[in-house]
Amino acid sequence: MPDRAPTTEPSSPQIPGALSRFEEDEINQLLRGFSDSTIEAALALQSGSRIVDFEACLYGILIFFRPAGAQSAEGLPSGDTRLREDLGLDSLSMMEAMFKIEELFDISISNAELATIETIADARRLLEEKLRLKTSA
Amino acid sequence: MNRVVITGIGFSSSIGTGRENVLKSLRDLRHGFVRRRIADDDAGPELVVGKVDGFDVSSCEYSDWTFPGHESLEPSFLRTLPPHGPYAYVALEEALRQASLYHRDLGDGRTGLFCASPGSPRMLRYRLNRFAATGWKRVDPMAVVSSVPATLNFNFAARYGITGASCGFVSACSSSSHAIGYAFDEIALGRQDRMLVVSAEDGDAESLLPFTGMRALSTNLNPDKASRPFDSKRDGFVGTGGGVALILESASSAKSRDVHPLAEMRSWGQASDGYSVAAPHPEGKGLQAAMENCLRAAGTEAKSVDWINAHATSTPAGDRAEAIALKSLGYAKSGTKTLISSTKGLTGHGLSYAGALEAALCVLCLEERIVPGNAALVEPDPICEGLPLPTQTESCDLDLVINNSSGFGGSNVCHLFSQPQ
Repeated sequence: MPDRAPTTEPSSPQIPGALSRFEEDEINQLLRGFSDSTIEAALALQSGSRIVDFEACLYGILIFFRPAGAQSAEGLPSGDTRLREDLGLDSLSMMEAMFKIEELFDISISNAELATIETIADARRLLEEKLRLKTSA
Repeated sequence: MNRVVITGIGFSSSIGTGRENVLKSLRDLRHGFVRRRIADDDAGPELVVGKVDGFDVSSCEYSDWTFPGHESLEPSFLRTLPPHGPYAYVALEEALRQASLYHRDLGDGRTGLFCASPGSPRMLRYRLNRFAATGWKRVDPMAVVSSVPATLNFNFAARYGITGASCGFVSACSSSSHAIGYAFDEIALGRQDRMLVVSAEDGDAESLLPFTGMRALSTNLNPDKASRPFDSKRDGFVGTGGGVALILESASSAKSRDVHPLAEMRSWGQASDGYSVAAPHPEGKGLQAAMENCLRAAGTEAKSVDWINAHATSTPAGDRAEAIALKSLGYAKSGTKTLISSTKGLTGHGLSYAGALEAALCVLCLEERIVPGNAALVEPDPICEGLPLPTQTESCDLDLVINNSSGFGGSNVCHLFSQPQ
């Protein structure tokens, strides 16, 4: 599986910079060891809210926590890429990835919500919903 | 009963990483101590402590760690390790290489893994502080497996695909000696063909500074004199982190693989003081019984032993109790050939990993036919009168060697090693 961003078309979910509370060096620290494309996407989310950056950031986090030796499907990742079947994430690596996503975006994902996430697009939609609720609160 | 041999040893210690560095330190009596403040805020007490060269695992974030070979290790392995995990990993890889064992050999169901780790108080503190900072909403999913006392067996059983026995041992400063003892039993009783024994300690502020409460740490700030087992001016132990690994194997398994044993493990024994939660029995009764049980199991007399690697940590009470126990077995009688020294004068006290470290040093000394001297011993405590305490490393015809360990709660373990038969 190549380490590159999904190719979903950008759109405007009307969320101000989801990571605007962080300075650049804080994002670099939170994502130490993650791929450059993940960090670039996270930095882009300081001021913007493009879907492509959300998905790239989520994809990078999910890929990072894949268990050792996980088998992956061939082909470029997309919003339809399945976390378990295509990326090889198991229950524990899903927990780790969700912890990092919660930490980064300052949200909480319940077990029931976690069970609904099957694809990268599912994770992105849930994240956007959480962020919109935060913004409107 | 199957005969048990040692086919591999590995070190990440204050006196060196790798067999050759450790051997040179033993020969030259080169200690591994530095003087420093070990608390994060730099305001804690200044101490002499052991330093493991080539490793920086002071951070609780694995991405900050540096150690031999860390560049080639994947995050999926590193992120569940405690800070002492790299010490243990480097030592185990060395031991496996020496034993000519490969990862593909270890998942056969006939290979087990016994570990001794106290867990990582530092990692647990770090994770809980971060948990609290989120208002107790979020805690790292790996907070448990990277910090509890079974962390090494969790991590390494998965890493090496162990399908035989796996377990962790906790008995304070005799933990890893228990791990070796029960590993011996697994092989002797035919339950396993080989056992990996791995132990490590963080050796940091969280591990060591609590010992200041019972005044167990040396306050001597001279690295050349702080750890001085059996000396009349000893005032406490010098703490150290590090890691060690030994490969125990049935003699028939080693022979079938055409691997030459480094040494044979003849027996082990244990006994408890039944006396105090932390202080040793004043006359070392539990340790005496552990040695007697070990010798009886091997059918060997005390006088046949060539060298005893004493537990002696450099605390006033502990060394005194051990000296009395040794005298009770006749080691202070004129004409005894048995030499007694404590390698903690060089390494410092590795707490739960000390027993396995010293067992591996016994194996190395059997191979090289040397007895390390008591480093920094100048004026032996009068209670040691008659005990042969060499102060220089000596070459000798070494055959039978005892390794002693004692832990809190009066837990005592004794191993007997010999040249391979």
